[in-house]
Amino acid sequence: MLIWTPALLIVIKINVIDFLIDKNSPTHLAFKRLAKKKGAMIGLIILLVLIFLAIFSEYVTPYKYDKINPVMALRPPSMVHPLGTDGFGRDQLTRIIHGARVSLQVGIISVAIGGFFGILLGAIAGYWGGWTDEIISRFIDIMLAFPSILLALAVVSVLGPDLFNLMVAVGVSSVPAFARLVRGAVLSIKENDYIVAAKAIGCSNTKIIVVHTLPNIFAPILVFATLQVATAILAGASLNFLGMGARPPTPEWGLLLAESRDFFRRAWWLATFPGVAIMITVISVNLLGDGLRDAFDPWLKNK
Amino acid sequence: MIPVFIGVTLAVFLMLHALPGDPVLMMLTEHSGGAAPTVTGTISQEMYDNMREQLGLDKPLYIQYSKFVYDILRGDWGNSFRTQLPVSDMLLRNLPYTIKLALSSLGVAIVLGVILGVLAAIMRHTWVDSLTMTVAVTGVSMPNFWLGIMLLFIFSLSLRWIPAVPPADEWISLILPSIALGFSAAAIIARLVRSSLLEVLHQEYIRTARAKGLSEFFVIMKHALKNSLIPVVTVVGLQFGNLLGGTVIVETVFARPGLGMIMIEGIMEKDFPVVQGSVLFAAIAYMFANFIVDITYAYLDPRITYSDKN
Repeated sequence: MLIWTPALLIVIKINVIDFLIDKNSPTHLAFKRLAKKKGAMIGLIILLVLIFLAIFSEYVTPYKYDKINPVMALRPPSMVHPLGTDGFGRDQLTRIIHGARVSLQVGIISVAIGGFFGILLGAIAGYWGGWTDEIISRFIDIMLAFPSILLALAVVSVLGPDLFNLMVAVGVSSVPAFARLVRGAVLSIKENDYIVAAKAIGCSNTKIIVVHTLPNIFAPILVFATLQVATAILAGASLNFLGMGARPPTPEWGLLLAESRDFFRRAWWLATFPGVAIMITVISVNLLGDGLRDAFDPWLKNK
Repeated sequence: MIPVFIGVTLAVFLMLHALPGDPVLMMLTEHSGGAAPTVTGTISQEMYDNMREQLGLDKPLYIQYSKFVYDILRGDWGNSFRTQLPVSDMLLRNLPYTIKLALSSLGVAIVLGVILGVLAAIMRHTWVDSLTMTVAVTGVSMPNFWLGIMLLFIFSLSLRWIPAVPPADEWISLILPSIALGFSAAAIIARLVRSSLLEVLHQEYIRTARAKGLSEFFVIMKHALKNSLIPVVTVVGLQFGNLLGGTVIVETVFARPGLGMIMIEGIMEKDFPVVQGSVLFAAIAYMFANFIVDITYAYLDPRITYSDKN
């Protein structure tokens, strides 16, 4: 992972910092377009609120997420417990706010894992071509032959059910899609003059990929990764619902829904609100991703 | 297709070897009723070796693999660690439920998706369009298991239209699960049909069709829709994989028998041949679905051929 840190910094510097300062750069214009998109901005604001809640959940919630209070068990929403309480009398609002941390972690970490290996494989396949490309592409085809949630399930079943393994599994299941995207993008730019020039002055292959190639395919990767976070949150919630990840009393949203089935007939609030939380989070990520795609699209088309 | 088949079987085969722990000990654990044995403790070296030989684990990997593929092609998918029943029997017994669910949810997805997409496209910039697209964004962002729980709440518990646990053989048991499973695919299809149809409606042959006096209904149904469906077919093919995977989750929500149920049980009980079998089966089914998609392409667009004749 460490060798990618300078790469990431270079990508961020070239794409974000340089271009934000330069008012005529495509990235600057794209972010300007993004700022005008109502949907994307709503998504971004909700997401920022969620991130804030996730970081400071201990301080913003009135109760402790694992505080058992049998007297208050299965109370419907009220002034004291806005979203009701569960079978142990724990406050559901508190548990859902704490759950934001787990879900965002699953989304971000699994995309980081999937993106790391997917970008690596895709860049190598696209840049070197030939039999390297052939082998990696066949490997990707094989991974794509499994429906992604089943691939994730298979990985979890091998690694054993656990929250971190779940992130690895969801990450692995997104590797082929990342690799395909990056391979295509690298293929489309690798014949450009600046790559040829970099080769001519004797840059190493690694340097060409990291410094000259990746920054130039930053836009499609950013868009895809954002949308992939939404997919990963959903997949993570599904696997947690199946009991393949977090263990009680962790307040994970999918797990909360699984637990709600014990009180299905008596406590509608337990089955409703965690799902609403998942939906709001995923919608906001999707809105941001759609906005990013539209904002960057003219640039992609011009290439 | 054959290289992918080899790769898929190899991947599933290697899963067993990637497991932490010794499969021989795992099997013996099941035999001895759950107490974890060790070679020197509860079981003798002889028993261990016998079991190892019986499972074929003493042979080199490539021989094990070729035997694995040979057995799969012959229809021998191994025996469950737990029940000792042949995995192929378990799969075949549960398969019809999963296929019915996957196909009916695919039906829900296509019908709902195309109708919503066409409506949104022909009523562009009206409230119908915005409502449909809002439903679509919500649909892709909704976890299918939660939608299933909500449907159970509304239609089984509150309205009492459909029993919460209907007999799995009756068609009524398919309604809620296939909506829960097909809804997000419907949302994806609706968005795609809308944008694809809007693109086609700008084409000149549509103007010609209108100019020669065809009714708007006929223009859309006969001329525009067929040509806008090609990108949709690809997505339907991809979505079929998601639906197949989604059955695992939706079957759990509705407590339906099926591939998903035995897979989840297999993972929970560490019954590995069952997990292997169901994962492999799903992958093969998905491969066939993609194959069918390729054929459908050629049918929808005669320009696409898969030979080098032109």
